[in-house]
Amino acid sequence: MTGLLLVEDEEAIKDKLMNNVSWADYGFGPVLSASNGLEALEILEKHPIKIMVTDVQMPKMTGIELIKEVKKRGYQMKIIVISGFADFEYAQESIKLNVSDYLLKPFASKRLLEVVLRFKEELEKEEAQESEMNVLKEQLKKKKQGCLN
Amino acid sequence: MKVVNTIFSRLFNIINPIKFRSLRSKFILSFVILSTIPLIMLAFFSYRVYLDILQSNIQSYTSEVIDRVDRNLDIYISDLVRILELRNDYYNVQFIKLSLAGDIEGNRKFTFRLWENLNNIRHYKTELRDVTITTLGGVTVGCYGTTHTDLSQNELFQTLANRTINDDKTAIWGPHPDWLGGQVFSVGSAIHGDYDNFLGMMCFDVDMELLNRICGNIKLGKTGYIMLVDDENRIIYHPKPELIGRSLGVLLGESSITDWKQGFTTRIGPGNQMISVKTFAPANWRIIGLSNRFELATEMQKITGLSLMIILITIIVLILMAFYFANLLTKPLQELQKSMCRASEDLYTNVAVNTNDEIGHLGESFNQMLARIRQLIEQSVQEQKKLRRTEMKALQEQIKPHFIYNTLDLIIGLLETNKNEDVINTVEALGTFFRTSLSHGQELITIREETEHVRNYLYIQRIRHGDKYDYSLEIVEKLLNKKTIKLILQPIVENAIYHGVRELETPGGLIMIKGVLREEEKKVCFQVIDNGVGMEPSKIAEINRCLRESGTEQRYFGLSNVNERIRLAFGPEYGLELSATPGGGVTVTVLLPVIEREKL
Repeated sequence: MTGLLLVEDEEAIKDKLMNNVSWADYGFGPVLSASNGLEALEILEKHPIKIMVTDVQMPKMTGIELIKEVKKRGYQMKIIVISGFADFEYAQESIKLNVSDYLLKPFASKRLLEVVLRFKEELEKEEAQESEMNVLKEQLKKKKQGCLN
Repeated sequence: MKVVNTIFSRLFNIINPIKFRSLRSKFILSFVILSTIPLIMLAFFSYRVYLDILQSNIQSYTSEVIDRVDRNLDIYISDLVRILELRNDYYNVQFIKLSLAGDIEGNRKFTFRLWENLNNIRHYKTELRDVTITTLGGVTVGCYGTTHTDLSQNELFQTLANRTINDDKTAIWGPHPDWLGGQVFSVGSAIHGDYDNFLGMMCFDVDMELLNRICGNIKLGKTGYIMLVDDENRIIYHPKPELIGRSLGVLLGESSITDWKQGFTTRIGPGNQMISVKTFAPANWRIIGLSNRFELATEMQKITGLSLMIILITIIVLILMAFYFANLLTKPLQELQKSMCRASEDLYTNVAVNTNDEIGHLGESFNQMLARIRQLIEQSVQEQKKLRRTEMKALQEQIKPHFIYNTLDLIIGLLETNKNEDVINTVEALGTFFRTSLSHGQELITIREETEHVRNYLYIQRIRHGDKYDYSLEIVEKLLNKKTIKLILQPIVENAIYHGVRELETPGGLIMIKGVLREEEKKVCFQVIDNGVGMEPSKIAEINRCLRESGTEQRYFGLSNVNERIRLAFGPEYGLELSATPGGGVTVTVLLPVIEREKL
């Protein structure tokens, strides 16, 4: 299961993000939402989130500030920015912060789903590779011990 | 003064309502009328006075001349009267007595003596043709000898003989022809005897040439002259000898010669002749001065001609002066007028001020006015530019991408969940919202449109933000058709949402929009009341201060922009003011002028 966090200040859009896709059917869980950056950070502290979808313009803490904080805290996750702004300034900022993808409003929920699924696959691949690496490392470790013994 | 003005204005109207409308023409006409009327009056009266004086001078001259003639005659006659005192001389009386007694022989020596005496006496005075002594018996001794006289034909003798001793005055007879055929008049006195009995007379025959000598060289004017008539109005002297002996009535008309008074009189006779008359009392003759009034008229015509010429020249000079002064006065005015005409087409000209008088001041005032107009136009242009700028900014705020994309995103969300009704309403609201925002570039829209605009905005926002807050609009019906500049309420409502009700922790936010007409102030008043998180009183005060001071639009952009636009469009007494809503939240009060729909 992949933990998903949706950060959006506008209730209606947040509802759309949350409910217009049956995230659970695609193997996401827990799927959580926050109305601003601060709320998001609280959730990140408590839940293992692998993919975060965040709006940029939000009250209290903007999406950019949130991403900076996430990087600062060293959370490993895929970050997808959704915004009405297609300004160069935001794009630049996003690249600088090594954001995974940038989605422009308005978009259909399936478009988001595609993006999120792609990253989920990536994550799963990464995880698979990692676990394979771990198995190989384990085997190597065992062989080393066998040899030593 | 008022009456004079009225008279002048009527005169102008009568003379020519078109030509005399210009100030110049009026000035010229006034000047000419004002200066020529006294001139003409002066000329008229002085002509009258001069005529009177001339006439009176002529009269007094004539009177003097006649007096002189009278005096000369009087002196001459007086001399004769004095000589006549010799009549009672012894020899004379003796001669008469002897003659009457018929003593021819005895009388002879007296005759010679008398003859000699009388000849001597004749040389005392000029013009004496004969000196005679006539006796009651008809014997006359003169300078030329002794003759016998028909006493009945001798009027002088008859006059003297019929007198009493008490009436012993000298008598004059004549003119009559003397024995030599010459014209003479006779002056004589009675000679009385010892018993005062009439014995005869002593008489001088004076040549009528005397009168010619006295009167002949007298001229009254060019054709005027002096003549003498006797008591029967027979002409005894006239410069034309052929008229002597004729009746005065033939010359002057019978009516002119009646009612002569004693002393000096003047009257106008036929042929416009001025007749001056004085009676020469000793002979009961009349000295008549005749002067031709036509000569006077001719003199006066000369004077009149001269006066008229002077007046004409003066009037011409006055008219020229009037033109000169009118030009002097009106030229700067005309220049001013031209400059003003130029200024009506090009405000960036100035009137040249050349004089320091009222016209100069007028030009200066006009320049000041032009400068003020330019300044006001510049100000107005700047304000309009600023208004456009702020309007553009307001418009940009309306169509900011965030709002559009989020709303479109919302619509996608609604479609994905098959909430078709909501989609229809939202799209409709969005369409109406933008239509009003753009409103074909019109500055002013009806309050109904403005209200619908904000209602659509609230509808969209409320869908975006869930049920966190509600809203209500209460606009007085009669306000709906009044006009306002557009996009007033939406920025205030946006402010109320993002800084008020949306910040609330719990649902229950409310935005109330009220619109009333403050009839006593003649103002439209909107209030956007929210019960949101509100603001510190100090912040409310700061925002209000920023709103009052223009040019602070960077801060509190939405409210400042609305406030600035209202003040630019309607003046500083209108605009926005913030206050705290009782019980929490912020109330924004908007004041606008009442603009009727049909006025625009």
